[in-house]
Amino acid sequence: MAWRLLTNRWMTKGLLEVAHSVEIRLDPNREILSASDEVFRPEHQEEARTLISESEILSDYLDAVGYHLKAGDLRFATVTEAERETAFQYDADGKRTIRLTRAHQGLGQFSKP
Amino acid sequence: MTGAASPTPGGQAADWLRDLHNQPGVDGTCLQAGGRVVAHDLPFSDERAGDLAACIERLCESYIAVGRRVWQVFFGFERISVLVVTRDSLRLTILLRPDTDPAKLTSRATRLLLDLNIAPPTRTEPTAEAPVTAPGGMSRADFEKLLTGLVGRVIGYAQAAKIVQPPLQRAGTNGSMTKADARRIGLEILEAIPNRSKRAALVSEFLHSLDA
Repeated sequence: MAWRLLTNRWMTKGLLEVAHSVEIRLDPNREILSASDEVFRPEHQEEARTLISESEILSDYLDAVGYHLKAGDLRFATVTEAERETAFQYDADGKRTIRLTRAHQGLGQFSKP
Repeated sequence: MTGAASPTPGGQAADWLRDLHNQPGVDGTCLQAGGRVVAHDLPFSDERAGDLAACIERLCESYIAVGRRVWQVFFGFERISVLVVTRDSLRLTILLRPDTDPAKLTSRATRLLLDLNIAPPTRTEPTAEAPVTAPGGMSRADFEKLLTGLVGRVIGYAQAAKIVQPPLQRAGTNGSMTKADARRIGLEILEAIPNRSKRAALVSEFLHSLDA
């Protein structure tokens, strides 16, 4: 599985060029349970894999933060950049949801599951 | 509660952090420049605040290393939520009670960062004249930054620097390196990553960055 974060080059020519928002739901083994149609197009599968990898990498970093805070398990994360926002929901049963949105839609999309 | 790490501009920052801390739902704040804590009012020791700041910096650096300019990261655990707002190398971390709406604090935090007059930490750039990059190659500094960023995600930046340096010194690169050398040395360095799947992923990203 590719394990890299998106680069600027991909950010301007990717899923968000064809959709305002895409969502990927993953099972505990990181296999796709369901996803927006765009995710399954061949030209976007690399970016989709990258998003899945990002959910993994991000949880590694945030687990380290949670360890220092003694805050319990990670529940969600939202990363906001220029013109895009990526929200990750980490369920207690190991399932995950990733939502990539074209514009800043407000923080905490998964804060109240 | 711990005060500012330095009187000025940390003193000014501490005052503003105190104001932020007084907002409903806020449990603590920490302002850092790079990995250095400028001021904090976290209910922890300075040492623990420093550890947290280091984690936040690694998180931000992992995005910056691949050219992604993150403005803010908001994440939540079972018992606490965390809002991190960034500007250049400044990171403002705010601990929130889980039911707190971060939007109410984002604008205040962003304003604070914009108004703060703190010089960004100087990065350890080479002071000698800029190396001439070999055609199709890359400078040693860029190579080091790329590899340290990649390896640092898995084992931490301090340890990553220790792993990256020896192969570079053995190779005797002087300022710049050809693409072939960069590829060979980079793959040698990444061999040190013990986890097979993470190693494969980092190799994939390294080769992609080399070709970009």
